[in-house]
Amino acid sequence: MAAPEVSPPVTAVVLGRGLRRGLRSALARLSEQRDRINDLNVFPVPDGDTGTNMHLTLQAALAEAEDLGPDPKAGEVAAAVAHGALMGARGNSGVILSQILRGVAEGLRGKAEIGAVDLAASLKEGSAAAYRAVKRPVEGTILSVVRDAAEAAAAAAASGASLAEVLQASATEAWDAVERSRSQLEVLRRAGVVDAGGFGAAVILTALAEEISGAGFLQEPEAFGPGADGHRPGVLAVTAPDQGFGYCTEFSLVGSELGALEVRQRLGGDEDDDDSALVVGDPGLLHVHIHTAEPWQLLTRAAELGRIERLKVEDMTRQHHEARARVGSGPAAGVGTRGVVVVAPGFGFHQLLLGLGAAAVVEGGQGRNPAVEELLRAIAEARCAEVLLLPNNPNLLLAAEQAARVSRSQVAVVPSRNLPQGIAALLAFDPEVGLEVNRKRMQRAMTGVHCIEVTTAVRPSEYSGGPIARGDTIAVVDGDVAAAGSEVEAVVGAALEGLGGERLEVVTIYRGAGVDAAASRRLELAIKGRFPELEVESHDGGQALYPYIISAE
Amino acid sequence: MAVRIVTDSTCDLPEEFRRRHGVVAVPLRLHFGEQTYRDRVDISDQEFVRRLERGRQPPSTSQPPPGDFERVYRELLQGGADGVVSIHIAAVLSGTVSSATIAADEVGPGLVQVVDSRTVSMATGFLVQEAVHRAERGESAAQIAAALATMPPRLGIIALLDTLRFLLLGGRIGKVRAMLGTALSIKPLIGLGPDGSVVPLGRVRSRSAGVARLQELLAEREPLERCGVIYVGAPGEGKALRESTQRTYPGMDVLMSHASPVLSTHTGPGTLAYCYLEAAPDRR
Repeated sequence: MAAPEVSPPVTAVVLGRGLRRGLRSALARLSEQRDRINDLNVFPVPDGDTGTNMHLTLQAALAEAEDLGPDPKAGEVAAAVAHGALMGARGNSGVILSQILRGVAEGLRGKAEIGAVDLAASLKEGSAAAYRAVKRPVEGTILSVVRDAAEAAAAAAASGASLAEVLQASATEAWDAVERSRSQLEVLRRAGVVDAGGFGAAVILTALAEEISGAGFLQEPEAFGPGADGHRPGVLAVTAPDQGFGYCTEFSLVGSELGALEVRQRLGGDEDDDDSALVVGDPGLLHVHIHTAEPWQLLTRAAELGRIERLKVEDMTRQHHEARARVGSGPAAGVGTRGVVVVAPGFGFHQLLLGLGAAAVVEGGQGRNPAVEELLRAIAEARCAEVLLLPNNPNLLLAAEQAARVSRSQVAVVPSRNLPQGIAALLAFDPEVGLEVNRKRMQRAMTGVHCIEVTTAVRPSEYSGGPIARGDTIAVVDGDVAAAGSEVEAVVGAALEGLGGERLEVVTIYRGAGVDAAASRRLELAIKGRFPELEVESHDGGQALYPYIISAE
Repeated sequence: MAVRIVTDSTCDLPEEFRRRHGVVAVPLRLHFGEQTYRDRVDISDQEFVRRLERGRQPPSTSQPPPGDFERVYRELLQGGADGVVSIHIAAVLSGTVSSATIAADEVGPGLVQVVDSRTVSMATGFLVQEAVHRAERGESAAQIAAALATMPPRLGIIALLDTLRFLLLGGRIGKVRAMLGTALSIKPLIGLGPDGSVVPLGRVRSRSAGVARLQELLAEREPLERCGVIYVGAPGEGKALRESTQRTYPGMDVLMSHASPVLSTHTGPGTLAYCYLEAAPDRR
């Protein structure tokens, strides 16, 4: 007699390690698709970094899950991934992804395994968390893709589908939603592309579905032993003696029976003035990141608690001197009390901003968004109890707000959208007055300052003034293409005309990397010739991608 | 006869007010190279600014010699004045107060009260106005001086400069030095600290942003008892600022004056400023 037919398991689940495998697969797939996603995001200027941002964010997320033990609970994997994404989030799309992962982790909290219904519920939480993070959600973006995928998962789960079927249904719907984005957003329709962030989300869901339904979703009974006690990773500050910049000391503490809180107490004492100090993880495997003047003492104490692995000690005083030597040293505004941290691309901008009194400058701009962690590091480097953060890029706003929430300094984000706004805001900073007064003043100072970004069209396109040929010089004024043509002087002149021409007062040209001073001077003279009443000056900005960034006020 | 009021040429009250109330303004000295001019006597404000714009080096300024004060005090006293109150530019910014004090000692004890306004320009002028009103009510020189002594904390000046250059050349840079660390051309906003020394109040890149900030700074000092507009150079912007300020404070007589050369030489052409007197605590 033939053996009885084995029916597929009706309530198949995935365990923590299966989820982790799925995420590895998603990371690999995202890595393959990274350039393609970047390319989707080039209309009409090359600010395409969605693929890079999502990839680096997921990489940071997974790295944290890799640090868990060999057989973690699904909820623990999700929590680690959410935390890693939170700390490593890059760019707008990265921050939204981190919020999706955070919502998913909330939905999976405490679960050892994930079934169809859990999955659908957690995707719904992920979608809701992403919507909460964005002030004005737009249809046809990663938000609507994830929401539609979550709804498809819920419908499938409600009809009794298996975990694999639920995943497949959500991935299929995600691709349909990606296709719909093409017609939902005018800007995408004209460029003939789909939404880059939505595409990235669909890639992740597909990889998860394939990995989990293909191999990892079957129940693995041997894993059902007594697990850990559900202790969630915690983030707790540990203090460092406040002498100089000290040493950045990072290590893993393996085999300790203590949780993050106890380890913090054993290692740290009671002061809490170190922004960057972290003890993260579960008993048994903790990550410690502490700035201390005496790493040897810290390590001696740590060695009594467990085994030290992956130790890294860096002399921050030297790093600081090197950084200062690279960018020159300007007077730091409000050292010790209040300061401004600015994101800016290029050596020239860094020098200008430090000269204007910025307490710290973070390298970053179009095409290279600093991660939340880098912002936090700069905030710590500013050594100020109160920090005003100038992202100078709309795509960095969420990351900046994230950093503001996580930082142990009091941080207010002044939502500068470009460098001219950021410089106007920095000028309005007053170290003598409180954070909120400064935030309002700086925000007010940004109004009336216009930004012209001059770049080259990478593909034929069109704007309100007509067609754009590939290779044309285009002027993007406050985020919208305002002029295009073959000659930079004429394009900039037209852009200034659109901003009021002679009614403006001060025009400042910041030339990008690779633009020689003579070309910049020609542009300056052309502007003076056309608008004799304007004050025009030019400086070396050193930014990538844009030959000129011009402020007009 | 009543107490008479003396000030110096840096007190930017409209000339008409001084004439009507018999206020004597002793001129400071302006030095262009070898030549010396008496402020607002030998050279007009407009002519001074033209030379300031043309010249490579701004002129230097110096306090009136004690003899000028002595002559004025004696004339007034001989003319029948019961006493003199002599109100001047902040002692930390000019030696005028010390010249006046030397002259007052020369003239005789108790006859002349010298008051350090601890401020400049029309803010000093507001003390002069207060002194005039008190003198016309019949107060003695000592009473007036005592009343004025409580006022400097309520007086102030906030100025938008077109450039830091003149402040730097004049050596009055003080705490404003911190604004120098940039290649970017900026327009500074400055004020005077409690002791009369120059303090930074802000930086902007355009005139319009600077004027807006000036108005904000003034509003932060409300409630106000008096305020006035000072300008250096062309009067257009000053007039516009006076009109909009008058609309903001309809109950106040917003005065306007060109800055004295002494102020102009330190702040430069294009300067626009408010002088103000905050309301006394019992009138808030």
